[in-house]
Amino acid sequence: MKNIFEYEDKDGIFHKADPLVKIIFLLIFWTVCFYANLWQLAIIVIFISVMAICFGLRKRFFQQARFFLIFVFPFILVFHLFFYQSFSAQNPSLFFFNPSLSIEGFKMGLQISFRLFCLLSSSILFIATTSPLRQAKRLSGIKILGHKIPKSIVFLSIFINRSIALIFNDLEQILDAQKARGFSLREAKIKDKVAGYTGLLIPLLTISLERAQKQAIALELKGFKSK
Amino acid sequence: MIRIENLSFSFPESEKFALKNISLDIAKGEFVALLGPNGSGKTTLALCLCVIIPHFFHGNFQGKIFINNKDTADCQIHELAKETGVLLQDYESQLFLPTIEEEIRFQLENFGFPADEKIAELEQDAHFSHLLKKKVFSLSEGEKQKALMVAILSVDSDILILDEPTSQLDKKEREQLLETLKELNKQGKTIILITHDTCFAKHCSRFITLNSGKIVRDEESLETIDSLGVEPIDYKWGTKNNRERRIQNTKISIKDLSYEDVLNKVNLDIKNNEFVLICGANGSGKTTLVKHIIKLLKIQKGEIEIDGKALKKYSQRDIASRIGFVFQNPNHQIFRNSIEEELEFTLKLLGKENKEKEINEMLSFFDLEKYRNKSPQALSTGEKYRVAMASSLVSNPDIIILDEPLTHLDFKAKQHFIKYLAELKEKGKTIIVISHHPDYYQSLVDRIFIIKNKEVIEQ
Repeated sequence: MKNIFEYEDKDGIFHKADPLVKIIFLLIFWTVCFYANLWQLAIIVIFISVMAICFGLRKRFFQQARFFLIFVFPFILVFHLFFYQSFSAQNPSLFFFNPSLSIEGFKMGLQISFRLFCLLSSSILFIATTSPLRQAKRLSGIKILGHKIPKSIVFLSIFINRSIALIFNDLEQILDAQKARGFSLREAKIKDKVAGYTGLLIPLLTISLERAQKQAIALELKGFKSK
Repeated sequence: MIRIENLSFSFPESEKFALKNISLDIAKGEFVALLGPNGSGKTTLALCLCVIIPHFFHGNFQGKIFINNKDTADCQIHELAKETGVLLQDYESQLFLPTIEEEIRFQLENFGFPADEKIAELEQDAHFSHLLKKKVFSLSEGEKQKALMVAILSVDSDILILDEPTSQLDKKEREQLLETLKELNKQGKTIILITHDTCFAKHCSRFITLNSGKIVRDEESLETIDSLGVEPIDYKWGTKNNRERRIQNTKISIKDLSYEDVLNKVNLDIKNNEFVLICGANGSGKTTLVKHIIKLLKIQKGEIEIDGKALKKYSQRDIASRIGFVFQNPNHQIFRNSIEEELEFTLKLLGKENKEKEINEMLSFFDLEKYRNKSPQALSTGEKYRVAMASSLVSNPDIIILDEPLTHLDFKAKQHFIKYLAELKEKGKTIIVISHHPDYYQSLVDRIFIIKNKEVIEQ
């Protein structure tokens, strides 16, 4: 999985594009996704799929699409299909559930799934085609009304770009450590898988927070002001 | 060049001072070895020198540090980074960008050096050019450490603080690094070397030994100081094992194993109760080979059998109950919230009873009782490695695979562990050790295998 979230050095149009233009485009794209309805989102999904295939990111795109279809899509769809009434009420009570099948729920489930898919895919396309180094250089060089972008913002932006791959790397290491001791989460039954991954959240979060601090130190040691 | 005045430091929630009243002057051009047992405060002192303490790791910080007459209390890490090149003990955390080339480029550009020139120079270096474009995730631990050293040295800092720079390097790389450091020292660079490897440290011009956070010795010669937890120079780790080997059944059989561009038709038979050492240069595929045995890597070509049964017929749980594997980097192995949980996790997975007794035995053996409820992440690297070993060996497996087990340990812990391995061998265990230091295991080893050119050769 970590490879999906890692920059890949290639010679494509997306790779050559200015990181700043890509960030602006990404923010506009996300805004459109938040306001688009079901049919508009369906068109955006097709658009983003064609883009990924045309720009040589086919393998990576299908990997993440598979992940989404197996782990995210069914959950959202089932949730909205059966509990739409509970969440669409004007003032839903916190523990009120009204399981009932509805076509509106199905549509809402699809809409939210498409929206999440677009957000995830566009982020992956951005990360896959934007070198953190180029991104840091570009953002450090910008001046707005004579002021440079604060280094902490530049650090945050490159950290987001790079940290997802590093977190997935940490996750793989934990999975390997578990496997070496007899528990293979990847091969476990669905029930054990859900319990296993849930149990990993706290250690993964702890390791990731520590990593964030270590990464800030690493960048400072390379002469980059992170705070 | 470096002046430390009455430096004391304790970590939050710790009553014990990691450093106690340290005063020290290091002149320009000195080549200093910082020695001492695990947890003596060497790494803490290094972190203070490069101001990671107190800027990132807070705690009770007292005293002053001056570098080139600048009070470091007024400096941020990045302000000192150009004049102070630092290799951390947890070198992996220093790698941030996807490739080594980008790491070097990023660092040089931040300091205002022309990166293209240096990269072009490194591309011509036959020993290093192959690492430049490689993804950081795909590098071996030794390659990561070597690459970071090159990145640090490319900046031409006046002061170098190197924490265990040889812990993952093979013999050739260690010798090459030593030559480079000697040359830099001749040019007037100040080098502070933190290490357990006295064979490497003996080339320094000053030896400072720390114990329990205090300087206990500061001399210009490295005497026999084993009482201070430091390995004596050229210490003999026992005589060669000349015991006649009894013909035993094959425990692990590897036939024609190939893996990507790393291994090619590897054949290897390891007998029951055998102590096997696997050596080879950094990145030669030693870890890749053993990862196949514990099913962390899927066999692409070839076969592996354990006790005559194909590996694929074993479940992961069966493998784990038979094989205890200790990772090269302890950070890759420990992930629970406390040390006790870490050990309990292994036993729980294998459905073993009497957890308390076994956990107590292991904690006591590895001298970890006092840290029982502490997070493993808060320990020093040497202590983390002891946790990793305890968590793998607590299940009493038949086969034990250890990847560079001694490099992070101090002299006392090394002796203790070698004795433990001898006991395990007496009990009939099959032991496979990957190491760049065959000397440590001389008295135990039955056969040595070397991985070279993607193949395994018996020495």
